[in-house]
Amino acid sequence: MTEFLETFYQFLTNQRSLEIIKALAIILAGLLIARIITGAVIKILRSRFGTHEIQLFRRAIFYSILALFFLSALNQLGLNLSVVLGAAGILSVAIGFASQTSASNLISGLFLLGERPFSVGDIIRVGSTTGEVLSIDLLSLKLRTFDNLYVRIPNESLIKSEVTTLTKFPIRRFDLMVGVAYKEDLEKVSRVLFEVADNNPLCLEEPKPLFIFLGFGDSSLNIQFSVWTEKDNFLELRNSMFLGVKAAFDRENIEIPFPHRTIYTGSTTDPFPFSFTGEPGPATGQQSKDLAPENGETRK
Amino acid sequence: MESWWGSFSLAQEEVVKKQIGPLSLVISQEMREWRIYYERSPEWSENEVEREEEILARFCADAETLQERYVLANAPRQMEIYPALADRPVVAQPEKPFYIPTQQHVTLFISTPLWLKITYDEGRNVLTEIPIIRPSDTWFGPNTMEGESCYASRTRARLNPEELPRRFHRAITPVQIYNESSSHLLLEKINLPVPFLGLYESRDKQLWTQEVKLVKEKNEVTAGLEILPGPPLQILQAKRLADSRLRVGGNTIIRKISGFLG
Repeated sequence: MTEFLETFYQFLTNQRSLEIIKALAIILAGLLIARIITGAVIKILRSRFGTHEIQLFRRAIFYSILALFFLSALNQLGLNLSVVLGAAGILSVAIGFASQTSASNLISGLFLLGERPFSVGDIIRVGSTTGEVLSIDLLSLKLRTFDNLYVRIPNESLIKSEVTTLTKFPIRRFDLMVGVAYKEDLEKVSRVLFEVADNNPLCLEEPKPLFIFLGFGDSSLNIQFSVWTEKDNFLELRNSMFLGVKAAFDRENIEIPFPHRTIYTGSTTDPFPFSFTGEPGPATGQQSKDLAPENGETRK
Repeated sequence: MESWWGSFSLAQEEVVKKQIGPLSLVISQEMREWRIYYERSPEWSENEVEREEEILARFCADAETLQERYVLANAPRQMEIYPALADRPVVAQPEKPFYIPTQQHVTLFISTPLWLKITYDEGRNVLTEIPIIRPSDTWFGPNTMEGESCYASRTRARLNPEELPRRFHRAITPVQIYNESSSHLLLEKINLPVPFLGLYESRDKQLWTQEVKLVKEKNEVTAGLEILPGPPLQILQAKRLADSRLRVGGNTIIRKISGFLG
């Protein structure tokens, strides 16, 4: 027991041990001070900056204070900082080769932070993933999709690919694509669509809705009707417009056609001879009999 | 015509029924719960004012129209229903755009939609606010990237107040527009910041807001909107009904001209 205490005392009074303990104390104090200072600075900045900037400041302040204390701890241990930095240089080359992907992500992350195409809280679409930005870190971006999944996207792929920020601007346009039958009067269709937009309070009066005739489709006259709404109401407007247009078309007897196929045997032959004999009955057998060609030809 | 606002008794098993424009409203107290039933009639027209009782009789307080429930520890016996102006600015257009030549001025009258505010404890606590008509949203700004979210006024801005339909569920704002710049001022639409205005009741139970004065400054770029204190001069024996939702320091809002006129 006495021996152990003696060794322990010797360890404590040994110059080297003291240095190690001091270095550890410096790092611990650094952690504490960095946390306190970061907290205080963030409190002051919170009213002036958004979540995105606050997150950046928090990290930058915390890690720079910690780095200073870490260097001071190394100094306490008697390490020559220039040697350490030199060694770090060689090491970084080695690590750089070994971790190309991470380094690329890191640099992409820095560009992303500088460019600021979106910030925390925005809704973005990357490839087929759409979600709310939770955090923008040095290596990756964290998203929460609408079905509540957590998605991590490496920064490198964000820099390389197309990213759409859905909530950048306060208002958005919704393009409603609809086809109407060839027999319909387009002016009437346009009037009915404008009425639907007019009666929907979520649909902005200005900018005005847009009616675009896209062309003669295979089985319908194709129309694009674009309406504007506030970004937060987008989904609600989309649903209410679809329901409103369907109800208004039904009320006004405007037909939304499904694809039609007309079978025609060519210019030299007559069209298929069809005739209806009597009212088509509910029974399928009866119907097919009635619809059979008069002259007994079989359908091709 | 009796006004629809004021203080109402709401003892146990009692109901308060109101027909305010197209809005049919029923408030009932059951146990310690206040139930607010309402619905808006899409086919409502001015002529139906006379058939108010009939509409209310048809409007049945059932589960479909139950919109809000409030449970109170000590249900107060009194409740207040008061009108309130919209919580966002309202954009109005004249019948046809017109010019105000340099050094000229004009007074426009704009009718804006109202909300009804249900309060208890003599107005100290607000229970809820219900728009009498849900106005359509609109965007007021130079482009789709910058601007302000507003409500669109369904009625046109008029030069003669007599032309404005007298409706008890809307408030009228007189707007003086002065052009002090050296070029004509084209008035296509105007953004009226109603959340800054107070509400008054006239002798004939019409609702009016404070009058505003909009001046296009000499520099051609900015405009100042001054909220004139007190009731508008057009009404007699005015009674203040509601304070403004927001306050403006110094009673004048200075913006770029595109912030008020489109």
